[in-house]
Amino acid sequence: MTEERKKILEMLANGKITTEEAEKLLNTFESKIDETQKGDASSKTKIPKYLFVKVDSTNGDKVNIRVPLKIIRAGIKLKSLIPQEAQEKIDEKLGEKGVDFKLEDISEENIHELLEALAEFEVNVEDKKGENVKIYCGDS
Amino acid sequence: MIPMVVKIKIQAENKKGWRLWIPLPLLYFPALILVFLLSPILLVAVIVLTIVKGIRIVGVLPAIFIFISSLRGLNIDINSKDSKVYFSIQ
Repeated sequence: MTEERKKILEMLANGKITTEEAEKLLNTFESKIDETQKGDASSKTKIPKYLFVKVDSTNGDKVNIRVPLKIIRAGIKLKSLIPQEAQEKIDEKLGEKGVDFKLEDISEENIHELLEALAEFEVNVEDKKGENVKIYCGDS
Repeated sequence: MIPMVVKIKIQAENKKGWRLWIPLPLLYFPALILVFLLSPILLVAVIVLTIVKGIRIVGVLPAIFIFISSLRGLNIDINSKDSKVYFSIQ
């Protein structure tokens, strides 16, 4: 039992607060704890460093590729160099192809979210012959 | 950190191959000297491009620096029975 909970129950026992008030206090206290726990969990989400592509074939061929995910962030920095006029043309052409997407909408926050989501990204393909393709994000 | 070495190894079918280690400071320093020597021309180009095309050249150098830094850790390793290719930026 935490200190705060004890205090609330003591106040209730001493008659300083009613049962309804005690319930309200406990509820708000618990919701605050939940929020802080959620915050801690999201801040601990690890951003993977690399994208790995591994191919194992039955005839002995092996491919092992490691691409640093920092490249995505660097690409966003390079985006800022594209003149406004060219960005508008790109958006227009994408729109013509049915892609509802604007370059200016890409922000650091979006990239952070994307990189966080990539931590759980994994593609694993295995066929009957035993050939295996694995694509995933991680640190090693 | 900017990458310091590019390692390339290639081995062909007949087991003959070559290894190449390129220390990147050997490229950075001449590039810096070149930029310094050409700075008057580059300055004019920057002004013209900014005014005429609206390209923000001021941000080019940091962007290129960030891009080069992000390449550190890139590793490509392809092995087959007969040949091998290895490319790494460290």
